Amino acid sequence: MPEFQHFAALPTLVPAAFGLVFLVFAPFIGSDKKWMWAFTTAAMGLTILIPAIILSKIGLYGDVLETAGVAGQYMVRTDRLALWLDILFGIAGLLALLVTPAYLERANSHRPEIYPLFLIAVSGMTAMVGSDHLVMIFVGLEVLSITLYVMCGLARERAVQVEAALKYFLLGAFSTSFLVFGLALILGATGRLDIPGIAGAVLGVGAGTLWNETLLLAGLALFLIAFAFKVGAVPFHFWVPDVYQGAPTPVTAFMAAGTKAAAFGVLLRVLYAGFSGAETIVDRWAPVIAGLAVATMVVGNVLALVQTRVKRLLAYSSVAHAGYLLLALVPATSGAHAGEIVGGPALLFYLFTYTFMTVGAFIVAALFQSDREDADHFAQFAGLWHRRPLLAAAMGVFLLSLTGIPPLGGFTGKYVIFLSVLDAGHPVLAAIMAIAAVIGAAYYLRVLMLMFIAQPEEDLAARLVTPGPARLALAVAVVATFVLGIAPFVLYDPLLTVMRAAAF
Amino acid sequence: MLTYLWLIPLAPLAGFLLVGGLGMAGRLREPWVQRLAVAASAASFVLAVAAIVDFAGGLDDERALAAAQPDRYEVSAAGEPARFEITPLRWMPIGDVTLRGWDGQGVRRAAFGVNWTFALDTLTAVMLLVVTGIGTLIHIYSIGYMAGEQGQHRFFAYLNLFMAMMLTLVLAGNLAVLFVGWEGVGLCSYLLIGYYYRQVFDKESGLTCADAGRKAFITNRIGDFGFLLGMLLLLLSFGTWDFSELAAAINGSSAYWYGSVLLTGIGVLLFFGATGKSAQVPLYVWLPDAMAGPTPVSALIHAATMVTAGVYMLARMSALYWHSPGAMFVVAVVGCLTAVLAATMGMAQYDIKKVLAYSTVSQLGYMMLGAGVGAFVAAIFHLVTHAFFKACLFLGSGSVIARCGHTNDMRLYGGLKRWMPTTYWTFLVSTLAIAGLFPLSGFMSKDEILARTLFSFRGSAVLWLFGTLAAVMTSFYMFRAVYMTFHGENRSPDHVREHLRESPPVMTGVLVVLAIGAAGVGLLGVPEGVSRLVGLGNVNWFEHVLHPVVAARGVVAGSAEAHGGEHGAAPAGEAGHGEHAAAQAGASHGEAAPPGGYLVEGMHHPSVAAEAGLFVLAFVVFLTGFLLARWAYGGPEPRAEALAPRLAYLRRLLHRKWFVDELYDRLVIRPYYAVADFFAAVDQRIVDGAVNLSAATAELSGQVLKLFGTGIVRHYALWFMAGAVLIAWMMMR
Repeated sequence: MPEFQHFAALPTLVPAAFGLVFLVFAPFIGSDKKWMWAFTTAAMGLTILIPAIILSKIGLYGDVLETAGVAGQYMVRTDRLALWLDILFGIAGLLALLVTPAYLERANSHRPEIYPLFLIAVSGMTAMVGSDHLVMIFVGLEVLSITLYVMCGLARERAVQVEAALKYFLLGAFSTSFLVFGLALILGATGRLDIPGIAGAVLGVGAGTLWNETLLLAGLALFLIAFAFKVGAVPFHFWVPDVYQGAPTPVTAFMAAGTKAAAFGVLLRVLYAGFSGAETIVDRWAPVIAGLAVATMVVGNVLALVQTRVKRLLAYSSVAHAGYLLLALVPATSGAHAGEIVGGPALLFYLFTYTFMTVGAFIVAALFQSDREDADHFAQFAGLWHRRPLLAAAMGVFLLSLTGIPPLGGFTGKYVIFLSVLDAGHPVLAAIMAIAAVIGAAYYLRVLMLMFIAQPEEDLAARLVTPGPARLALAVAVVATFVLGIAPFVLYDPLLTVMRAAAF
Repeated sequence: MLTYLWLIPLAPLAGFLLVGGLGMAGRLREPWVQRLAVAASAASFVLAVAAIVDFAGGLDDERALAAAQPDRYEVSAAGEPARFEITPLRWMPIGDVTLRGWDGQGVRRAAFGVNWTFALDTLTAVMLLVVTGIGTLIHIYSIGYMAGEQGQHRFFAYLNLFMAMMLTLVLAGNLAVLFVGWEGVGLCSYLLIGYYYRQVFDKESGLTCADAGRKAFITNRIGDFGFLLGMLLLLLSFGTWDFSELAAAINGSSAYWYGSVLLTGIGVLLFFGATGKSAQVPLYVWLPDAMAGPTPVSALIHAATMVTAGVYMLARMSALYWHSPGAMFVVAVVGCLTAVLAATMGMAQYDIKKVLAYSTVSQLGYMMLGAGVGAFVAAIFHLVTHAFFKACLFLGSGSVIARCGHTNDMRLYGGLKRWMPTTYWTFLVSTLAIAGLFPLSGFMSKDEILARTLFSFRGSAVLWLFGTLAAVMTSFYMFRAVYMTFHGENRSPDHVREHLRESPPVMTGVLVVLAIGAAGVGLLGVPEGVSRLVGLGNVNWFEHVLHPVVAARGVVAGSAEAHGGEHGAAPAGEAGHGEHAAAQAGASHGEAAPPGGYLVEGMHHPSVAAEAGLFVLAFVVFLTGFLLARWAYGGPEPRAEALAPRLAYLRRLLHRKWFVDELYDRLVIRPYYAVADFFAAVDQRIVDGAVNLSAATAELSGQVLKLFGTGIVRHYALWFMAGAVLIAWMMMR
């Protein structure tokens, strides 16, 4: 049994503390929003730094830090999986924060409260992935969700945002009820809510010591439904386009990358560590994941084809990418790793590349924000190359990467997932993924063609200014997209060690 | 110095970027274009020499380096032929993602990702010196040749890019990097052939230089298709493209691989690529047309360096070819056929550069013949000597062309000896060399190839006979060119004759250097037979240095005794080979054979009388060609003209190059267009239809699915519930 290592909770405590303090002080320095922004950005930097430091030293503590609990049941579990994802949340938050002031100015909505909310949302995410107790995961999820509801609807005077927030809230509450009920059933079936305990009970399936398998499966089904909603898998995806479209664009970017990563982190941990012990159980949930993945990839890509607005297109593309990510969760059917999720490192790698390219694309979309209703309509992007070549080039990199063109990160990400699916023994799923990706190419390339070939309809150059912080964010995203494509080993090699420590 | 091996190709690459970039922006004036380009090329020469000096000094320091950083450096072990490898860059490696390969014993997994590896061994060192040395000389010559031309930055930038690509090719540590260079030099060749892209180069057909460039590019593409297939088959079979790993894999299970169909297939496919790049039958047709490029380009790319890439590749893959007698036989036959065919064509050309082009094809045929009979060292040696004398001949012809009003037609030359003495003497020395006069370089290398063809277990007397025949023709067409160009009456138009003078020193200086090389470089590799005749023992330094790299290795042991008897004929020969055997630290050389009874490497050792006979025969061959040419073209009234009507048919046949172009037109190009038309129709009707149909299907299903996104939360909750029920059913059924 490890010692109580309280600093294991630091990745959660730091953003939570800063977020709360800033939120409390927001009314007092509210008029001076630059200060608020600067403080928040610095705190977000710290939020990246702390897990990075712990990660570099984690070998000293036997790969796992645990705290807040008794008798072998800990609420906080900080391992490589949690720390890498913590870094990712920080990056997503930081990139989104960098473009937020420019967006708010353009949208004419001055609400500095939004900055500390980013920090609180990050603390929710870190709590979710930094725990192996389902109650803690639930608490983290709620912290995250409630913060996001608020962030989506912060501009009360804009009907579209309020509508988005309300839809998100209603459907979110709906899915939360599934989650809570699922937890209750799991508790009823196993008597435990911590993942090691559940894993022990699942192992008992073969031995006949688990007294009610049906109850456990029902609980797991409800749990999967709730998380399928969170990642936006078909048919639980209907909120995604409406909310992504309505929410402030930096928040959309943050949600698309961060929320997805947190939900997938939990899914990976719970399924890999909790429910992989018994073959009969795996045989039940594996087809569900595979089916969700196929439906999500195909429907997401097909629906993205018929969109005419960039934010909505990116929303459906985010649905499609959730499909690829789900695919990495399908466990192997045969070989040495039968019943195990071999795509773990690929999934994490893809989350990183996805963060950079999709946040980058949303940042570009955010710069188009204006009071006009059709601010992100395709027509606005026509001929961007002739007006703002650098911006068009950056957007081109993100779109090509989302398509999966080498040597960009999106290609490498798809490639490792593809290989892991093949390794897991699912050639049909791999083929479907390839077909879905081809459909995906059509709509990304359509936007690219518009930007580079079409002539601008009207001269919008005057209001397309890219402020310094947004430029920095775009530069970071572009460079990272290239680095992950050309030298993927800088990230993939360390990620290979993640799964080792995530198991129990 | 060795750790900076990657700087060698980088120097001309920087030159290309600087000259091309600044030149295009108009920021670089003409003398600086030339200076920068020459400096970049010279820098790579200096770096290459420095690296080779270090390499020759031993690899002890590098071994320590490699031990410290094993994933970056690799140095061959003490007993192996010296080899140093550096990997400055890894290209897209991904963790433990692996490719599956099959190496004869079972499935093995090799790491995905191509390493950007540069390697140096003696074979590469020789190529490095040839490429950078002769390349730099030709850069210098170009200053004079291109004087007064507009837009030179394009020319010099391409030339520098070519150097970078060629150096990448010879420094490559694996096939992938080699292929980068292989395609890169092809690109530069295309760009430079079409340098005067608007000019018509062939008045008969009205083809422009750009067309000639395209012909070269497309012909090479056909060869590269085979090359790529070979590469992929190799990767599939061995899971690696690394040269040393490949050699180790093949040599390691020698008995398994010997004569295998797979290796023969790979060998023939790779060689098909070489027939494109090195202008062999059936893909040689682009090289004569490549003469549309500026003459320095012809000298550098289409004589000295690029076209020899195929020969270099064969030597590099020697482990594979040793284990595939079938593939080697193909190489030898194709090489011999090319040597003879091209020589006949060369005898009837009036364009001086075409004569030299066919001569190049023919000489490349000799190199292939050498490689095909297992005389890899002799082939590489011929490559080196050929680089000198052919570069000198081309540059000499360039000197003539530039002074004679930019015409290539030898019927408009004549008597130029009077005006251009330096050009004449250097041209003559090189002619004597290529015609094979002892002791000039051409004799040394060609004689060695022919002797090996006759005596090697992989050669045959028939191939030798045809090779000797081609040598007679070589001597004939070269002296024909000399007589038509430099002797007799001048036939130039008056306005040209008035301005006839010697070329500037920047050009003649290069000619002199190359002529000295053409005369003397042969002494590095005096054939064993010749040196024994003069009582020197074996002084073949070239063979001594290069043989360990291309020797047959890992051959099944136990047959040395069985075949010892065949070697007994010439004890002196055994002594000569004994030296190598010692140098190779136990590697089998000529004495071992696989169970099938075939000897992998080795030759019948001829008697002294036979060698003396060959020596004399070589002189007779030279003399025959020379006297024929002198008889036909040497007099004041060339007898060739008088003979012409009687030999009209033969002459037409040779001048039109055996109608090969016409044959290709009927056999390949027209059927190709017919097939292309058919597939175009299929593409437009069926494939496009299918594509449009699937696109429309996707679009339509999108429109239908869009209907579900009503924006009303109640509906969303309904679908949510439907999904939830489905999942619950799947989990609990």
